[in-house]
Amino acid sequence: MKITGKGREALNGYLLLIPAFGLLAALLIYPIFYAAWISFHSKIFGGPAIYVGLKNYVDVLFDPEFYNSFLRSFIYTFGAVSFKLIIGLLVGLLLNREFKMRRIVRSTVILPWVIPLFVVAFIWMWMYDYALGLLNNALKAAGLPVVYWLSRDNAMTSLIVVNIWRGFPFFAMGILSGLQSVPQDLLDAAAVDGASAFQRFRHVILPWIMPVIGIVSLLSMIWTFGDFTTVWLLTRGGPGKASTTIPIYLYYIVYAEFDTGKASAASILTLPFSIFFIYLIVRLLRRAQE
Amino acid sequence: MNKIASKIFATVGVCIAVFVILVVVLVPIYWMVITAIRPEIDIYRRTFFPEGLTLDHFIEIFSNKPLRQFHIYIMNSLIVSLSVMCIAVALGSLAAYSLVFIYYRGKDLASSFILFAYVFPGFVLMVPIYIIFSSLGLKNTYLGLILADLIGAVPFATWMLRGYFMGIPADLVDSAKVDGCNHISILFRIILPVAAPGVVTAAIFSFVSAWGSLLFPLLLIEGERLLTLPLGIMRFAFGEAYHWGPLMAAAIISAIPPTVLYGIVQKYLVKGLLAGAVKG
Repeated sequence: MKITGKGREALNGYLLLIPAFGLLAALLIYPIFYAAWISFHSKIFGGPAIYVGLKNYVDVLFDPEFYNSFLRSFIYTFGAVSFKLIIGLLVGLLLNREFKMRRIVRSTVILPWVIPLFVVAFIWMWMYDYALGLLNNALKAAGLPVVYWLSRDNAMTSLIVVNIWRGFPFFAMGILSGLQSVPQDLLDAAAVDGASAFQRFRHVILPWIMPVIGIVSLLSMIWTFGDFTTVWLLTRGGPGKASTTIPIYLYYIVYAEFDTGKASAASILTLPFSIFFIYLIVRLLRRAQE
Repeated sequence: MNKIASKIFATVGVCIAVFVILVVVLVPIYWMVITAIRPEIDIYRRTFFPEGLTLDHFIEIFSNKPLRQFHIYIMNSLIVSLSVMCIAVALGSLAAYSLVFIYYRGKDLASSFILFAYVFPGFVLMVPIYIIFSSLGLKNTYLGLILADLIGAVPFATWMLRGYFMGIPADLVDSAKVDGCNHISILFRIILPVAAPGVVTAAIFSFVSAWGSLLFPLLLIEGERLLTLPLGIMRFAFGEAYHWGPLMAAAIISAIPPTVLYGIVQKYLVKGLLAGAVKG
């Protein structure tokens, strides 16, 4: 009697999971396997799939652009995330202090992160505009030479700046909520022991907020690595290939080379990297929640 | 004396830092707003402050000429985003309820899978989703857009609601069970009302994620009838010479719903995203 009750209870549990998990099985898991399958085939849109063995993988692995795009994705990701972390930490510490109008400042700081990403991209496209953008207007007004912000040499840096502007509030707010959970008696005890402000930060506050910093950084890394919107709207990977990151690279294989097999092989080759990050995030978040 | 000096020093430092941050955050936003509401001639004068104000740019983007049909793009974005919101919250509540309040084997694995799906980078699915959706006739349909956005929204809503549900005492559920309630009525009558802030937050996040999605609509939509806001603005921007005034007017309109909605749940904003990683 008890066992059947338990069994029915478990059945209820699984039944309630079915809608969400069914959807994810169909739209996430099946497509991943489908991509793996196509990666061994040659297929044009609408045409039949012809088995080609490892040809697509060879194509990708002998395509220097694959490595270049990977490298650019790393530069974009680590360039942006390290600055977001530093700026976010400083802003978080600042907003943790008592001062007048703190609430308004907090609500304002979060704005870049609240505005949709595609809007952020267009705002900055306009800021960076060579002829009439605000940045060059300011340089002109100051009597300085104007800059081609999205030129071959500057595009990547300019994109990273946009990503930092967009993303630092997430770090600041995450770190701020970590700072606010630091127990006051811990700080008081450290102060009684004669710890300086820096020592308190180094030995009490920092260890306490380390898990938050870890999660925020990892989430941001995977989002920045997969960021298609910013790059696509501002430079479409250019000029030339100067800002072609992995998502843009894949998009071009699909829509310029119409080579779904090669694009699938390239997607599959990025998977181990993504899955490593996902594994770290899952572990950290699961541990934090227990 | 020294103490007072250092206190003044600190106060001045805080003021300067706050000022710098506000300038960095607000100047680009100001630049968007001012471009949208001043006459085009002002743009060419390169002045920081406006000399005249106008609503012409807003009128233009609703003028129904090609690529200036923003009422249609807004409508499309609303249809997609609201559908994604409702479906994600519905499926998410069922799954989260199961993951938190019912005991069975494999629950940990299921929770980890949801988290995996939440952080899985969507660009990896570009090719298979395009091919599968094409062969199912889901290109150029609302349903296709909605399904594509659900890939991210469902695990996200589930994970977020799971976090909120875990804060609800299990006794509440157990006593209802003793009273003979089934799971669905417990979910609707007890859990959802108690977790209302969480439900609203998950709904808003789902809405906003669909509102801003670019990659999948870019893959799935051709023609003008089904353009969503990001695509509409993109086509408008890339189509001809840049018309910064109307472009920024469209940008403001796109930014308003998420900003207002996030304003409502500001308290839960970051906590929701960090999914319970921050205690207290």
